[in-house]
Amino acid sequence: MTECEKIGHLHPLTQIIWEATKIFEEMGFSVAQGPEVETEFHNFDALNVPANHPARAMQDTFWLKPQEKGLLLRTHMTAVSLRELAKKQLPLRVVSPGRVFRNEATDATHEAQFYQFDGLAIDKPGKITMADLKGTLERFYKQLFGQNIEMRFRASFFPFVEPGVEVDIKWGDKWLEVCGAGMLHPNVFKAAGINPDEWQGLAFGSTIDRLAMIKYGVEDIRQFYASDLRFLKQF
Amino acid sequence: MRFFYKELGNYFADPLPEIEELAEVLTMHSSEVEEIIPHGEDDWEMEIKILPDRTADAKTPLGLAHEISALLPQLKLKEVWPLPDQTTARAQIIFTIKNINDLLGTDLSEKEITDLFNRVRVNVIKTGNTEENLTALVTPEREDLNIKEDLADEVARLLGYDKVPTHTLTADLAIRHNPDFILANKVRAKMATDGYTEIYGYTFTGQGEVTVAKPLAQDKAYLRTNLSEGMKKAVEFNLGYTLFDQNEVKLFEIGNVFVNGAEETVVATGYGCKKPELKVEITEKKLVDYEAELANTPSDLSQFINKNVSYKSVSSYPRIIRDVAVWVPEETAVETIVELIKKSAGNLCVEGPVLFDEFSKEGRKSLAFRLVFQSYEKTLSDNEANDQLAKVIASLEKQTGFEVRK
Repeated sequence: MTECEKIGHLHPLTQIIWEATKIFEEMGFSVAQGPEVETEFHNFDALNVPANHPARAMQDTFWLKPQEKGLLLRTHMTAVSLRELAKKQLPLRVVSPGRVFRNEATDATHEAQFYQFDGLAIDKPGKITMADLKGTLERFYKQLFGQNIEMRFRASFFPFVEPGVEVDIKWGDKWLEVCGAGMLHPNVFKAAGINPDEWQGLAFGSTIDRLAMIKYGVEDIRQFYASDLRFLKQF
Repeated sequence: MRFFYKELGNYFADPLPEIEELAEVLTMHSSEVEEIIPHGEDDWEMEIKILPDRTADAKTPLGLAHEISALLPQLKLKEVWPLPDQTTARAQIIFTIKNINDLLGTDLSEKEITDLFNRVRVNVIKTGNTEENLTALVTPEREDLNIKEDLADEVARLLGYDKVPTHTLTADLAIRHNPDFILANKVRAKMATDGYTEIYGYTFTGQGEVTVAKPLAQDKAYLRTNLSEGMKKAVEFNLGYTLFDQNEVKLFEIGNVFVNGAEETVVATGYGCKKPELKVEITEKKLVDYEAELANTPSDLSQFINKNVSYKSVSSYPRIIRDVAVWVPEETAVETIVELIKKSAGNLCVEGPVLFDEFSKEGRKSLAFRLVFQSYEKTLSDNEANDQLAKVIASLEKQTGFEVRK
């Protein structure tokens, strides 16, 4: 008698994660996951972010008690990329989606928890290059947002890559920052016990909530965590 | 960092490009110009987010002028700085042209690369007696140039990333299957098929085993030990927004909990209804416990991906529910009436019309619809909702053979 919905809805972020992993799978990427509670080593030290590095202060980390144990809530999915790299099963291509945490005041565009995916593709020198990074990300954003989408790379800096770039896509008439990326830094290879003269590769990290907000026109990131069927049933 | 256009121009013998063009060049090849503020008739202030590795050399007007001269080599500086030699270089980096091309996927010549380096006052000399090995002599103020990857970064940004070729990886590497990811997707497929909608709850709670050192609030000072508590609240919250008392609320969540000294992925389901009596039922078990049960369930989620989302934000103001019932000729299609109501109900009607009652009598049928009125700007008054409803009734009654039941 009443309109009865037989099929449930998957969370919009689940849907983006599914689409992203499918697109990357077509380019040879496997899916990796890891713990939300991380060590200082995996989240910072191994990623070329030493204790006194300004990038560490920028990250607004949630440390866990007792702080001497050096445990924290991971601030980026690059921590999982490092765990995969340290398995030393090379060549390697992985994409790691998951929940990350930042200690910052929440508002319409900031949440203390959100989702990221991090990608890593490692091979012999000259095999996986900056050109592959451009091609891989361009294919991803075109498949997710539509074939007409424009993408550009800008010079930037992240401690775990060199060279480093910021990736923008053109949405309407505006360029939007959607991804930090680059060629994995030799110090990260060393931390994983791999000789950087023998291997090189690309790395990228993107906030999934932001991609969903752009794709669907959601204005408030907190909606994703409000468990409100009026919101969730639209996806 | 703030820089003045005019002050930067003083270091050059040639005029700087227009402010917008200069800002664009800096943003694409160096550090992002976040804001341009006009200052009087012919000057501008640029707010530039100098990249962390360039704070040593590029945060002074003179330093930024040197950077601009590297990005726009046709502009002559008034005072030209010489290239370093082996005695004045801060660092010496041994590299090959192949190193650079291997990292970037380019096919640049030694001359092209040397020309780019000279723009940032990095000198290039032959090393020893091998053909390939070169040494980059780094100018003293560039503290960020230390390894060959730093040199590749200089080449790429000076060249421009639009000049770096594009190449797509193909699936020439075998996929390693991730059992946890596959199992979680099997659970999602099963739950959605059974009518459950997925929620993502918060990791932070008011009690637990693992304590956050600097929590955002006291009720967010711990990591959750279960999903059930959040699930119960979510079911109760959504029961408050069902359209009819006989509607069910069915939710599920897959998430990590922190209990007994370990992090574990668990699955919770929540069921709620108001009739025949108020009932809320929660289940929670480990993800791995679904393994045997779902051995033959597909993990493909394609059929649950909505490609035609037309999103409308949810208003935080209270809603007002109104019903309208109408007699219509037997042959009238429900869609026709729904369209009529939608058109006349206006933007304040955020949900419905939902058909909830239908019966026939003496060649006519009676249809009853429910509508939800809500504003994005304020709390609606009963009168405002009634005015909208009056428009709906008027438009229905204009139709031949229609009679609104009062």
